This record gives sequence, C-alpha cells and structure tokens, in this order.
Amino acid sequence: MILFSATILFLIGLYAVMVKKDLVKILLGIILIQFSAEIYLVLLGEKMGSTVLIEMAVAILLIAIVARIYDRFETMDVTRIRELKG
Amino acid sequence: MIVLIVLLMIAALIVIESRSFSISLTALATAGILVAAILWLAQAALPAILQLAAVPIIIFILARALSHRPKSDPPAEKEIIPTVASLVFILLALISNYYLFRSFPVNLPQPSALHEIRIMDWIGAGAVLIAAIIGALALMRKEEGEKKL
Amino acid sequence: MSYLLPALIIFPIIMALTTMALYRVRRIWLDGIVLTAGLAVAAASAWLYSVRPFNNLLLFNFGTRLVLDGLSHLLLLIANMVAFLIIIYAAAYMNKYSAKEKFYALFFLMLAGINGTILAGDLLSIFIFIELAAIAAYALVAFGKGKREMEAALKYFLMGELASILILAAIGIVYAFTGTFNIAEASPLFSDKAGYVRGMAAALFLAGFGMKAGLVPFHSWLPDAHPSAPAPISAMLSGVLIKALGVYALIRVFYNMLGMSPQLSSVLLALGTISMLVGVILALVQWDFKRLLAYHSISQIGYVILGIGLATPMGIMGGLFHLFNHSIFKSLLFLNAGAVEYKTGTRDLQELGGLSGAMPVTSKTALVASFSISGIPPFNGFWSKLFIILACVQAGKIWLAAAAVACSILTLASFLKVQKYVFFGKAHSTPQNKGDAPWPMGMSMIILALVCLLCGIFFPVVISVLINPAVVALANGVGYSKMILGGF
Repeated sequence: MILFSATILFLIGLYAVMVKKDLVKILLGIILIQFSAEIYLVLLGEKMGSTVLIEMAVAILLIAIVARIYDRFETMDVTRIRELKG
Repeated sequence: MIVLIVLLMIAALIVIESRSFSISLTALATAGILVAAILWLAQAALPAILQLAAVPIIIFILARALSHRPKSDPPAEKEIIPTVASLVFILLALISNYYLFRSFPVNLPQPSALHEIRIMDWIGAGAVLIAAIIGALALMRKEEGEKKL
Repeated sequence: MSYLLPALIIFPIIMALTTMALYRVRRIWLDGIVLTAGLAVAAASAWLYSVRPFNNLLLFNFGTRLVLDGLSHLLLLIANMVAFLIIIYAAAYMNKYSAKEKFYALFFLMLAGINGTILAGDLLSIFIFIELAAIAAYALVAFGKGKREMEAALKYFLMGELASILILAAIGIVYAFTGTFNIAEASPLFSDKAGYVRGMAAALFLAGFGMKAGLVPFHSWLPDAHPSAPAPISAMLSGVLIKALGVYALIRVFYNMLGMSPQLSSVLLALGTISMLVGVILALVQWDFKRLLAYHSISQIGYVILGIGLATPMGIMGGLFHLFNHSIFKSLLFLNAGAVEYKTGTRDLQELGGLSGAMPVTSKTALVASFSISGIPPFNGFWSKLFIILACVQAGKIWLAAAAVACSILTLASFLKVQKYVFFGKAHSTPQNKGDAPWPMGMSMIILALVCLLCGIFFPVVISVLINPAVVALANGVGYSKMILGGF
C-alpha cells in the first residue's frame, strides 16, 4: 500500500519534471520526488532519519541553483535556457 | 492511512497544476506534513519528526528565494505532446514492472539488526546537508554589480 | 590501522568545516593548510599498501562496514593522489574566483563523498556518499555563477538526481528481497531470486551508475558540465568522479554482488563499444578545447567498460589499467586546457595558436598527455589500450578489437588537431600575458606528465602492485561475500 503511494507520488513528480516548462514547477516536482523517496525508504524498513537530511540537502541546493538561474537568465522558461549546444 | 495517501496525491497534483505560486507552496507544505504523518504511522518516528522539521525550512527558503519571480506561467498549449508521451512512457514502465510488483514481499523483512546506530551514514547524510548549505551560500554570494539573493 | 578507513572520510569533512571557519585567514595560510591536508590523505592512501599487502582485505566494522580490497584500494589511490595534485593546481587557478574558502570546503566534501563511495560495503552507504560527492560537485560546477555554468549545473543536477533515484530504486529492490543493505550479505541471497527481479535491479543499477559514469546513452550531461566547470573541477570530474561514482560502483555491484553473467557481459560490451565510438566521433567536430576533452572522456570510459565487460582476466586488467591511466592523463589534459584558458581567456581552438613558445610547460605536458591518450608508446595509454585490444582478440571478439583500434586512430587524429591549433601553427591575435601559467599549476602538470611516462615505462610494476589485486577482487566475483563474511 505504501509502495503504491510512493510510486504514484514519484510519478506525479516525474511528470512535472518531464513535462512542465516552468522551472519552478520542475523544482517542485523534484521535491515531490524526494518525498516519494522518503516514503519508499521507510517502506523498506529503513527507519533511519538520515535520508530526510539528504532530501533537504537536494531541495536547498536546487533552490539556490534555480534562484541564480533566474537571476542570470531572467526567465523561468526552460525552453529559453538553452545557451549550451547539446 | 488510505485517507492520508489520497490527500497526499491531491496535494501533489495541486502543487504541480496550480497557477499561483502561493497555492503551490501551501500544497507542498501540506504534502510534506502528510508525508510526515505517513512516516509516523509506519512506525518511523525519527524520520517523521525530521520531516516535520524540514517542511517549514524548505517552504521558507522557497518563499524567500523565489518571491520576486513574475507570475506568468509559460503557456500550456505546447504541453500536450510531451504530456502524452510521458504518460505513455510511464504506463509502459508500470506494465513492464507488473511482475516485479506482484512478487514484492508483502511482509518485508524487519531486521532487528538494523537498529544499530549507523554512525557513518549519519555523518555522511549530515555532510550532504552541509555541502548543500555551503553550495547555496557559494551560489548566493554577491560580487560587484550583482544583486544579493 | 583499520581506523584509517573512516578517517579518510571524516577527516576531509572536518577539513571542509575548518576551511569555512578560516575564511578571514591570509590566503597563503589557507592554501598551506589545505595542501597539507591533501597531502595527508594522498599519503595515507599510498601508505595503506604497506599495511594491506596484495590480496588481503582491510575491514572496518562499526555500524556499517568499510571495505578495502584490491579494487577499492586502487580507486582510493587514484582519487586521493589526483585530488592532491589538483589542489596544488587549484591553489593558483582559483585565485581568479571569489570565496576560495568555500571552494576548498566543497572540494573536501566531494573528496569525502568519493572516499566514502569507494570504501562503503553497504548499498545504503554507497548511496549516501554518492549523493555527498554529487551535491558538492553540482555546486562546484556552478561555482563561477556565469550563465553557462548555471545552465550546465542545472542539467547536471537534474540528470544526476534522476540517476540517484534509479540507484535508490535498485537498492530498494535488493533490500526488499534480501533484507539487508550489506553487499556481502546480500550477494548470496540475491543470486537465487527470480530472473526478472535480478534483471530489473541490474537494469536500474546500470542506468543509474551508467549516468554517473557518462556511458552512452546516459551521457548527455557530460559535454555541458565538464567544460563549464572551473578547470580543477573539470579535471576532478573527468579524472575521478565519473570513475569512482560511476564505473567503480557499477562494477562492484555487477561483479561482486549480482554476479556477472553472459547477458550482463554483452550489455557492457555493447554500451562500452558504442560509447567509445560515439565519444570520439563527436569529439572530432568540436572546436571548444574542453568540450572536445569531455567527449573524449566518454570515449575512454567506453574503453574501460569494454575491457571490463569482457570478463576475462586480461580484459579486466586492461580495463582497470586504462581507468588508472585515464585519471592521470585526462586530468592532465583538463589542467592544460585550464592553463591555456587562464592565460589567453579562450577555449576556442580557432582563436588559439602558437602557444608552444609562450607556454612551454603547458605545451610539453599537453604533448605527453596527448600521446598517452592516443596510445603511443612508451606512455601509459599505449599499454592499457594494447591489453584491451589483445583481450578482445583473445576472447574471440575480433570486431570489437577492430573498433578499439579504429577508435585509437581517431583519437590520435583528434589530438593532432588539438596540438596543431593550440600549440603549434600561427599565433592568432589573442592577448596573452607573458609567460606560462603560475608555478603551482605548472608543477601539477609536470608531475602528472611524469607519472604518464613512468607508468608507461614501468608498467609491469604498476600492474603487479596496483592492478592485479584489483583484478583478483573482481575475478573473485561473488566469492567476495565469502571473503568478507567468512574471515570473521
């Protein structure tokens, strides 16, 4: 049951990351994925709290990156943040 | 428990689809608290408490860092194709994992040995957090002519 | 002595905090302290070889298990020695940036993560330390805060975290079916699970670690991230990170936990060969010095995976030797490119030229590195590529051997182009200050070049002392578990 909820939550987050063009939504999607990873790990019996720290760390750094990107690029539209060649 | 899970899904969807940043943030906070609740009910006390503490921190940082962005959300028309493609992909992934899910052990092993204090893991996780904070500080620093974030 | 193992993780973390606290100190003191710390870890890694002879194990058990066997020791040595040399270089190079203390702190945290990944005997620990190194790396790529760096860092971050989630899912599968995170304990329990369970776990591990290693088709973050980072970080990424987090973790899990099978071997061979060829072909059309090097990293990692995928003793030996060599010459190449950029302000091959006179140290060391990567005797790259090619032939895979040879030729062509446009030929109108790069940078480059030469000449020593124990550790396969559990 918990596995199910973790998976659905993950998929919602993944949908956001893959589909949305607004960088903020992508960011929020990543945070939701992190939440799902939390639940997933607890499901497995890994009752340590250390994973929450990682989740926070990922969120914090990503927020910093996104904020600085907005500062540089002046847009949150992912399709316009494409200076580098593929 | 089921109620919590359903609420969590709804909150997650609101986070993604809402046009307003504040509503998304509120929904995210709700989702985070629901996650903590689920963790608590699953007998994971420590993670639940940490999660509960993490939620306001994350929300606060999000609000401060991104408060000055414009309200405009890029237009939604072009999202149809990627949406369909990703949903198809997800569906295929789920189907191909069907057998895996079926055989997932219902009673997961609850090893008592796991309650030893895994110091190295805590140190590692703590270090990850420190790295993120230092990284954020490094990225937010101001140089001549830049705004302070 | 086994306390050295956790120390290799904890000490860098403490150094990171110390560095942050020292932000007001005069630069020369900060550099000095950092260099000493770097030297300490590098020396410790080397010294451990006297404590842990050849095929023995060194274990540390407290809550979680840290393992030093032939394989992890090889990676440990590579990581810490290269890191030390890069610190020397960075002491000069990073003067062009602000917040040097944060750079050092993040660098040490990254190193702690790398060491932790290498030493961990538990899947969960591996995950945590991979995250540590990765988070530090994302921040370091973005360190200069320019537009391109930020974009590259974002892309790297998203793909890297996606990879981490895949790895986590795979770890979850293993745990659900065996009840433990410990590699040694899980291994025997996992091998008799149903095929699709193991297949799913293998696929997820492959995708996740493959992404971290820059293996095709998971490589797309690499050509953006490696060039955009500050030069010492590019060198760390290409020279150490993709190896420790990607290749090492992959082969550890595949060989020692899941157990190699013909199917896994074929997959590795295929992906390795594709990476090898795609990397070098795309490198040929590049005009940005660092981007070109990044594509070559993809290609050379392909070589390594090809060798290891053969699963024969000679193949593994060739692959691991190449891993070692690549760390040396690829970091050297990135440091060269960094020195060029430091002095001339550009990475565009068409704008450079004639630097062999103006930058003799950089130029000569770049020549050494170019020869090494192209596989020209007597440098180290020649031997490792030779072994891989021979191993292919020995295993009956003639086409793969041909592909490897073809790739070598193309690599040579690519580097001839680099040499021509950067160091020889007419000097274009690029403003450059007189003289070569600052002496710390020069010193690192010279040492690395010397290692290329010496390891090439004395390759039998390198192989018997460093590589063979690692080969044994891998060839042991799932016997790893018995070794770790049985001895205690």
